[in-house]
Amino acid sequence: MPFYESISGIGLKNEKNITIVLDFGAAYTKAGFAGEYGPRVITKSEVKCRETGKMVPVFNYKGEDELRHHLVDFIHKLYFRSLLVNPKDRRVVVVEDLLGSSLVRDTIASVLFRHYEVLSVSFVPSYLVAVMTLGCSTALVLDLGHNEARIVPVYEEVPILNAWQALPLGAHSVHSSLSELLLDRAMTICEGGEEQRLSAVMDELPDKILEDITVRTCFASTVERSNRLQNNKYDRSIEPPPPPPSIQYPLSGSHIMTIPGTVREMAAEVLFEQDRDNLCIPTMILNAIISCPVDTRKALAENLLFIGGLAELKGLKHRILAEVRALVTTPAYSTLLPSISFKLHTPPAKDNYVSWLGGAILGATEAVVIRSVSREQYLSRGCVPDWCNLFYNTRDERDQKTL
Amino acid sequence: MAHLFQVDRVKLLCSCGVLKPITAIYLCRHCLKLRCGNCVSHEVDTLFCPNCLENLPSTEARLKRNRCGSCFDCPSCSHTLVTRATSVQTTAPDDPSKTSSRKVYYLTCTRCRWTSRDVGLKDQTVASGGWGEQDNEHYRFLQFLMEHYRALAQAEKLEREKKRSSHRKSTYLSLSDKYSLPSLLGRKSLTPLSPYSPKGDASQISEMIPLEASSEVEGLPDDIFTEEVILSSVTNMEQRMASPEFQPETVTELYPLRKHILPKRSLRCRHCEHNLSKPEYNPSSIKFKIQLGAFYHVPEVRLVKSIVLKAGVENGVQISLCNPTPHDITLALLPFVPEAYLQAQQKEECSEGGLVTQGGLVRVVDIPRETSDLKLTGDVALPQGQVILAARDDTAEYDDHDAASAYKDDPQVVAWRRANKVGMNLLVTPHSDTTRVKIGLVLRYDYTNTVATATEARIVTLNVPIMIDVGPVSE
Ligand SMILES: Nc1ncnc2c1ncn2[C@@H]1O[C@H](COP(=O)(O)OP(=O)(O)OP(=O)(O)O)[C@@H](O)[C@H]1O
Ligand SMILES: [Mg+2]
Ligand SMILES: [Zn+2]
Ligand SMILES: [Zn+2]
Ligand SMILES: [Zn+2]
Ligand SMILES: [Zn+2]
Repeated sequence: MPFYESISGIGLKNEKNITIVLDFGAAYTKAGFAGEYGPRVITKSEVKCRETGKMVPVFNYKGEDELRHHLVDFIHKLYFRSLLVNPKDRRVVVVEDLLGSSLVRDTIASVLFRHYEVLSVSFVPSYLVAVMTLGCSTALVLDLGHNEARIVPVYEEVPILNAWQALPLGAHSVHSSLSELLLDRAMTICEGGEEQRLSAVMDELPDKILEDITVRTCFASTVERSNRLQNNKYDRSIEPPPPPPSIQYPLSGSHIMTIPGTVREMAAEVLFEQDRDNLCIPTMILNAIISCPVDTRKALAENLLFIGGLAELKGLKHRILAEVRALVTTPAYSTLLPSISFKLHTPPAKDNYVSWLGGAILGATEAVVIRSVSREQYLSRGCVPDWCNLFYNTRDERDQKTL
Repeated sequence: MAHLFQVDRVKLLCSCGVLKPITAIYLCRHCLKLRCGNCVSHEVDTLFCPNCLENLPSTEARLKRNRCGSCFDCPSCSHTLVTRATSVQTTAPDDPSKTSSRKVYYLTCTRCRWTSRDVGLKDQTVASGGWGEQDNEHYRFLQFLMEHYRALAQAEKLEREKKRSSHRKSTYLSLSDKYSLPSLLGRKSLTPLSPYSPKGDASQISEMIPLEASSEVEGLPDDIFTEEVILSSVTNMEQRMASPEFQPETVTELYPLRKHILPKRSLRCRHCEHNLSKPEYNPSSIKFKIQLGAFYHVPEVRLVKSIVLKAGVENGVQISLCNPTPHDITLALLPFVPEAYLQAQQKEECSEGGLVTQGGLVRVVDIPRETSDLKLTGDVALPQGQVILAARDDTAEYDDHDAASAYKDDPQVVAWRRANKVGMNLLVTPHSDTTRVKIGLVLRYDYTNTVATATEARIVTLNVPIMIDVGPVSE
């Protein structure tokens, strides 16, 4: 029996059974219906812990059981608070990260099939479907997510997996850097009016506040200003650029924090500071291109696609492109990538739900029927096929044998 | 501790292995097993707007994207908006000297003072239904894109079917099959050749022009290094994600949000497909058509008073049992042995699994068994013998006569009796090295099944495992 098989009978156009599209993220989960142009809901990936009753991130778990509990409760909320349809006997498309953990994938499948008895599940690779939203077939996809920045180039619809890159440079790293800078430099005004260092009042800022400050006040500075700021660090005689205006930010408990302008500007600098292995986001892009076959490099460089919520940060896309263009002329890269030009795509969606949109486009086609795993198949086999499991990859041949 | 039903002290062990308070457990009268939210299947029953309590049929709800047609939420603070009416003076276009007054409506938030006028939305001339929807700027492109991929996938499907029926042996392993969805685009060239290609597809495919990458990207606004930022004019994440498709960045882009509707849920037993809970259709009713909560079918156990136990000795602990059914209940307390219980569960699972494959008709999708913390930290000496719990009788409360005399109670077993309640004394010995005592017991009782179709005896014996958190231990 072929593992992937079209299940006839229930048409996709049958309005009653529109496919559900889910994109689980470390920070935000996007959920909606196939064939629609935006998700119905983008919600924090958080659930109430069954033991403590506190809100905890869905993908923070100690063991398989805890992850399963989180997912059961979280998916329940998605269906019965946002989507408002019966999960049973409906298809689901899950937009998955090719580099993600297989425990998460297996648990998602188990919860959908066993707890929610969905008709079928198809896992679609996020990078590939993100490219589909452009209407073209080749792009180098940089996903600026919550925990990580990840790159997978897609050439003629095929993800070039051996060129993948990932660094822990996501929104989370910006938040940590912001926290450090604020504790070092920010002042607070207390109820009485006296001014104090922030570090004297609290020793850490909650994640929610860090995210809020990043989203509302921070931006990625220009290359030129960033260089001047860097140089000033080492050589005080070089004038730093005049700082952007500071901001009064109300904290709980009648404290008002003054966020210095330089902090707003510098929080995102972590994304460009090379780490011990000389890696940062611009080097990731060039390294990914270099790992690809020579004849694909030009096309990839001219079709960059930045997705993920962090890409919404003001000035970030511009800055990455500028850094990449500067970096490619340095000796380390100029011989490998001579006369190469870079172009960036603007997806037809907000950056944080581009992959979801790709899933929604694919989910509205017959392709999803052909490539989904049905409940019967799952239950008789007890697992979902994995792209790196040869058992499922040699499918065409096995098909022939069983015929 | 102040909870009326002591939800965190007395818990029942559901058939799926989860410990839950009696208020969160159901009794399936067909399977005669305890069920809970974790092991039943949930269904959307009816949809309604929580503000105007209007019912929405599911087709309409889908068209309206699960939002009410007439109620709005504040895009700034998500409180419900109210419609305000005022009148404005307008001058007649043909004669400027004549003015007339006209009624207009706008939306306003009574909590944060946001109004639809703040953000430049025009007042409406009708009280409701006037506010339009926001349009996705990529609408046309996305429409073509969807059509395009639909046509391609259709063609690919036909191609596959043809291939399968012709029994052709594929000699190579397609690379694209291996790592991706077999290339929808790569096979573009095949589409026009396919004899099955639906008519008109070619035109649809050609209308989709892929997006072009550009070498110019919008940088920072020029004034970012000099302009003061007014924090309250920039939206926060909640405000952005409240309209996921648009994600407004400044408060001037906020648009009234149509109120999200809510479902009434019904619950169904996975094993026998009977409803365990089904709400009434009317949104303003809080009653149920079917409600098989354990609270109405299983005697409720409570600790009579909370005590601190002494370590190493027997402590008297009093519990009360209450009969919620209109039938007398004979019950007994039996010891609970977690190990034996788990073993029995495993056996049952095996035999159930066998049945499913043999029958093959109804296939029950089993959820994984949960493992709860069943560790007992105290020994309990249970009163021996049976007790009869009087039927619940709502008029009994007004009766003063002494019920106790009607039952020949063994004072060793029954501490007191009042209407449909009975008090019983347990002797609890905390284990050494524990700070909190948890005991287990099995409540065995005769349940009068009133299901009309019940094939088994009307009176059945049920065993309900219960864990009681008796309290802390003092040294
Ligand atoms: N519209 C927005 N404006 C500003 N910042 C945003 C926006 N949307 C998301 N972000 C920020 O981007 C970060 C990443 O969001 P995203 O939705 O890409 O995360 P994710 O998909 O959950 O992460 P991952 O892909 O790593 O699992 C969030 O922490 C959030 O702070
Ligand atoms: Mg993501
Ligand atoms: Zn249960
Ligand atoms: Zn309403
Ligand atoms: Zn408001
Ligand atoms: Zn049942």
